[in-house]
Amino acid sequence: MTTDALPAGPTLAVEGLATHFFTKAGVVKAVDDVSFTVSSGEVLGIVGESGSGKSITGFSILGLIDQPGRIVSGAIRFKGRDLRGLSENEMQGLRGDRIAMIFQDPMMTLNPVLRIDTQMIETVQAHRSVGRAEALELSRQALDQVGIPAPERRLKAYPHELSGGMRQRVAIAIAFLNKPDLIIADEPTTALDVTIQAQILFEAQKLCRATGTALIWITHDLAVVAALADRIAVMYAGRIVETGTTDDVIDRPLHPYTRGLIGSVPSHAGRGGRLTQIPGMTPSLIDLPAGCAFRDRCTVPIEACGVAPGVTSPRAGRHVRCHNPQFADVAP
Amino acid sequence: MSVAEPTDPLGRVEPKARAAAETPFQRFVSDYFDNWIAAAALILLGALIALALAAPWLVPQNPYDLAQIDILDSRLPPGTPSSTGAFTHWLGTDGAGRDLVSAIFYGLRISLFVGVSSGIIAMALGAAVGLAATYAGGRIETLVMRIVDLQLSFPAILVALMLIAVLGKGVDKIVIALVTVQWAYYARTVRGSALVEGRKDYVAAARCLGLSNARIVFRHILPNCLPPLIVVATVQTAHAISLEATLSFLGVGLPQTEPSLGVLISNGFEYMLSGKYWISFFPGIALLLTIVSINLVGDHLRDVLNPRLSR
Amino acid sequence: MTAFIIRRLMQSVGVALAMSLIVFIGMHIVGDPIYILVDPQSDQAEIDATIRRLGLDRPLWEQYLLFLKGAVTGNLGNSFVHGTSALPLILERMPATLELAFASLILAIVIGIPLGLYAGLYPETVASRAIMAGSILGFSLPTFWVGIMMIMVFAVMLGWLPSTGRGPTATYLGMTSSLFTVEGWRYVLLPALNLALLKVSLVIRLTKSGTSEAIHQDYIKFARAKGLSRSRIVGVHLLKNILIPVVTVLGLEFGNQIAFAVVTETIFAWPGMGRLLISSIQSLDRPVIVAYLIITVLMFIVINLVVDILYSLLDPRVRLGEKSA
Ligand SMILES: Nc1ncnc2c1ncn2[C@@H]1O[C@H](COP(=O)(O)OP(=O)(O)O)[C@@H](O)[C@H]1O
Ligand SMILES: [Mg+2]
Repeated sequence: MTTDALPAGPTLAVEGLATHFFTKAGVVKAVDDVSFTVSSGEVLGIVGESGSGKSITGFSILGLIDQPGRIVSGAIRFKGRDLRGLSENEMQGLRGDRIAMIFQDPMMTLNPVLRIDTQMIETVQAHRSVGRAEALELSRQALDQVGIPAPERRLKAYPHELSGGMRQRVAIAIAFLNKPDLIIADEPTTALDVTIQAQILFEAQKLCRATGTALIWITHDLAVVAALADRIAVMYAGRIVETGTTDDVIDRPLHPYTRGLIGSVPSHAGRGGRLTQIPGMTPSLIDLPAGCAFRDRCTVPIEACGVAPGVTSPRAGRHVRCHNPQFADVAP
Repeated sequence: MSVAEPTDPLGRVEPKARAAAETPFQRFVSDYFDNWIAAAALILLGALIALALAAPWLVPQNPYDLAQIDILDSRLPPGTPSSTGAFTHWLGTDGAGRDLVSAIFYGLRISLFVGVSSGIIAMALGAAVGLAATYAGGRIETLVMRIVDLQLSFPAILVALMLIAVLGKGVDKIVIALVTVQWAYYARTVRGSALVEGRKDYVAAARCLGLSNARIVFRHILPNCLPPLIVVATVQTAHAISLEATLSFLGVGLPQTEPSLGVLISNGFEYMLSGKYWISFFPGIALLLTIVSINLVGDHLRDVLNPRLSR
Repeated sequence: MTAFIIRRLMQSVGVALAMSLIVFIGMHIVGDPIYILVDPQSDQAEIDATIRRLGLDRPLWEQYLLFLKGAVTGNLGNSFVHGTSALPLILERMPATLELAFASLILAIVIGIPLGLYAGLYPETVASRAIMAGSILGFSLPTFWVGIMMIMVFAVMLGWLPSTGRGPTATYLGMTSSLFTVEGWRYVLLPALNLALLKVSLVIRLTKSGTSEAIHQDYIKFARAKGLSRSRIVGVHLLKNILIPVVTVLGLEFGNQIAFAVVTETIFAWPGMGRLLISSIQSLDRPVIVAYLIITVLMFIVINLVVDILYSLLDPRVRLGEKSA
């Protein structure tokens, strides 16, 4: 699928990752036994409701989990090296250089009292010993790349002088600045309106393909990843419940939760059809009861759901965490 | 709308009756004493007030009865027996030969009296002005609040010094000065919470019932301004005591005939450089304990009375 | 920006006029202003002469204009005690006071910001709790008593620092100050520390709350995600955000520092205008008191103006708000 000349093997392979928060109220299993891979030039979409552990997955990869949270088990293999074994210094060297992240709210991610050029130059100079002028030129090019008009002027601006869409482009430019191998984009378009969302999606995708960067695109909106991702991982209550190629998952969802998500996407609900909402809410991740976490909201629960389901592969290239995967076609 | 009593599946009333029987005051008391530092501060403050009130019956001499003071006893270090041998000067004596324990208890009386009375007067005055301004509304309210803001933008000590420059020394003058510096805080507090309360449903409800403005202000808004007023009052009283002590120390506060703690500290200051520390030191400790305990009580009252602020 | 400055300037002039009116009315409410401005020992002929000289026989509004004129031209009457014009007496002592207030603000920043930063970054540690408890104490302790204790410990018992007075001065860039000499710093240290006490507590609290708020902001996490070093994140991203409110508050407090210098100057026999005020109050030297009041009020107004302008320069967001307004 990709025209990568690098040695085979994914850019990132997460295996059995578990990140828990040890709060006074109890242990929050924000991420529990999560595994996935992304390769160079590939886009992986992680989809799930708010609170399902998507952001924490991203932060775990970057090693940015703060007290009272901790990665309790699993491996995060980045180009073959387990990041959990690295020192804080080595991680700092990787962050922003080999692995970059884009945050959800562009209004909050840029430092309000520092100019754009300061925030870009420091990103270059944190990882490479280049002069200010060269770093500035790289920054200008990066802004140009993400489609910001008149980059010289923007460089001199403060964040509040830019619109939300513009700020998110700056954040994306910062992420691409050091030509990373992996970018984690955590709902970068959620806070923006639809047209800008589409432009940014398109540009980010284009850049990744062109540079061979692996991209993890996190979102709660299935429609977004449908247009963008090569593969999809659906997350629910801290676990990945279904994976597969985008088309395959959307056309033939196996997990009842995925089916629910698709039902709530306008285009799939069909013209005039009812936009279904999955009833109920994401359960509290504190001391989750045994068994499948989706059981209470599931339309097709069976006896076996009292025991947590393992991962099965009912079809080639597909993985699902369900005792009762659905094979019938999705209702129109 | 009434909320149904929670019942269990058998229809019995849940045992929350005990919590309901607890009056708000009881709950307030138990909340307050949850914090041991605040509890200790309150007990200390109570003890200080009791000591001040009972001073004439507790201390070995009346420090202002010249017949009881011997100038030969002056500047005795702590723990020296008095010349008559009747008692021991546990904290030493001052420059005039007064027993410091006695002087401190009497001084505490004066300091507390000045602080508390100025606090009460300022609270009454400030609350009245604040309520009246809120009640009147419009231009008058704006004008009053401008004056309040203007006064609060100048440091209290400057305002007090200017008043004293004009008025002169004396307990009454100091009280006037302290009231003048403080009233604005109360006025602002009352107005602030009156504004908040005024937006709440029960005031709207009272309006709908056709109650008069005056009735709404005094029967509904004032009682709800009380918690913040109490908090401000504690902090301001500590402030007033500190300010009086400062002015007295500067020699422009209370006269020698009304020796508050500040006057005692001031008197001892001249002996400080020759190493006779106790004449200033012990009255200072008494002042410190008073102010710190009031502040700690006020600090914790703020947390307990205002659940919005406490985590 | 210039429009903003002009508007602010006009506001300041308005406040100055209002304050002059208050002082003027205040002088009349207290009693016949002649008794404020004339030496209590002078006889009737002298009083009459002064009344005529000061124009106190004219209508009130004219008197006010005269008072204003006096204030503007620096003629606010003669000191009863010193026999010379009151205003120069104050101005002469102003540098010492400004120097003390300035040194205390420097100390407040140098001590307060690192402690507040530490307490904000590591709120759970014992040291942080101690810092915060200490700052509560700093708010409660009466300044004058702490000053006395400082003299007792550092000057009398340990003998490290001089207890009273101002050190030798030196002139640098046209300014004469004892802060330009090492010996001068030995003298200013205790008084400045004493005057800084309240502000240290204030800076600690401001820095701490600013820090604990900022560290949870996305832009800090983003800075970490960029792979910046810890020192750059704390020293640039965090500090620059915290510094704006701290510097603003401290700037506004500068006026307070000058007022509170009255206490510190008296304890440490610091030859500033505060000490002059206290001795003037004690000797009922009213022209000096009026002059002090006018100078201080003017200083307050100027400080507020300068801080407002500086603040708008410092915070890019305010600047934009002004532009679009
Ligand atoms: N600092 C924290 N302390 C406790 N729980 C946390 C913390 N951060 C996140 N969580 C929990 O982890 C879960 C997953 O959060 P997150 O990854 O942000 O969800 P999302 O999928 O919306 O990005 C949430 O239920 C949240 O409550
Ligand atoms: Mg998220």
